[in-house]
Amino acid sequence: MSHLPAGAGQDKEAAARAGAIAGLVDVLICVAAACASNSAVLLADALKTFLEFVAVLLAWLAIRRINRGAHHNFDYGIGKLENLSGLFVGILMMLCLLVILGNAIRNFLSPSHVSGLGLWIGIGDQIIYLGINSYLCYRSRQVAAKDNSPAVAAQGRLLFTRAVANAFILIALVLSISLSRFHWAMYIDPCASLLIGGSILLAAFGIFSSSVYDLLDRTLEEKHQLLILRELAGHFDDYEALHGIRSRHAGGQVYVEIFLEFDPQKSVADVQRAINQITESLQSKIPNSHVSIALADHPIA
Amino acid sequence: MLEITHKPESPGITIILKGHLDAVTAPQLEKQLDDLFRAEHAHIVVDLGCVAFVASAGLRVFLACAKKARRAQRGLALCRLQPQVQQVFELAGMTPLFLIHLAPENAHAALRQRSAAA
Repeated sequence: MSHLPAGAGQDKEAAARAGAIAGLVDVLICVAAACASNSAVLLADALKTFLEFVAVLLAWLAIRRINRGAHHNFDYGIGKLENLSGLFVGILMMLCLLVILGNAIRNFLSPSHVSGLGLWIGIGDQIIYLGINSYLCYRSRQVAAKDNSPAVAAQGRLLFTRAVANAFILIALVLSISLSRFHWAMYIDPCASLLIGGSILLAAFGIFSSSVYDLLDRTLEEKHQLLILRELAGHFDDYEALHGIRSRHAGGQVYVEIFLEFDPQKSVADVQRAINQITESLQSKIPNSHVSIALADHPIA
Repeated sequence: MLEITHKPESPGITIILKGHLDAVTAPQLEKQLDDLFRAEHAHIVVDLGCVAFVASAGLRVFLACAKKARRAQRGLALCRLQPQVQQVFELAGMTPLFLIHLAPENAHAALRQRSAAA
């Protein structure tokens, strides 16, 4: 992250800025719709859109900081800033969830039919974004299939999720209006808002679990630990003793330290060759990893 | 939780493990094996018949001990590996580093034979 080519960094910053501006426009429309109606689902949508905007805004600020030369003061990158941003968004998500939950409970206790100009703004907004997200999702899938790109495929999945959310809110609003002659239709709106709250809760769990563990320097997962052991087993004759392995996640990067003892009769060139082989092989197998092999003659805790 | 018992089998010894071998219990095994290496047993056989789970921390102990055994010119063998444990050893590429037998007696016999040949 901290060593992007200048052009790529500027492009990334421009894309993030455009995303933040587009997100702000969407937030303003959603907030206007929620304020001009008594719909719980529109309030939930406005909060969800606000959270997406905050996430993009934080990403833009992080990229800006990197482009302004933050790596001169942070030799190991500013990956932990991403974890802190993630935690901040996670806390915001929990606050939004409380608002959605409180509003839904209020609507269940004193139900009323949805009404107001905001409903029509909300319906219009959902139709427009359903069209945009569906079109972008279709384009992303085409590009992903043509270029076999996992990143574009992931973007396609995100857009698909957003299109589904737009369709869901649209259906909830249309049903609430068209079935307003039935008493039970008053509960469609708060029920739909709770489902949106559920999706926010799931996302918050994902963010908390990855961000907190990374900030606590969590060790590598078992599958990667097995890769390290496999590599050391493969080079069994190259070293004299294994004195320890330490690993940690830090802001999307993985750091591995292996403490080995070598035969003192071996030349430095031979030791270096063995170290290079193990290091390069592991770094190619473990994504975003930085492997260091240190010489040791006693166990390292 | 890991239970470790010993059964002398002159000139070697069998260590019988019972329980899980993970990050919590691996240091316990490491200390036991270190003590046994210091006690100058000609060879050590580790009976894994009652071990249902071995995590990477446990494998790491075996890898380090394989090195210690080679350095000290002692025999180290494993026996009665459950299929899932054997699979983990294979995934870590560690099966070629050990003599692996179905019974402790066979493992001891193989180690005796090997040291006699050496």
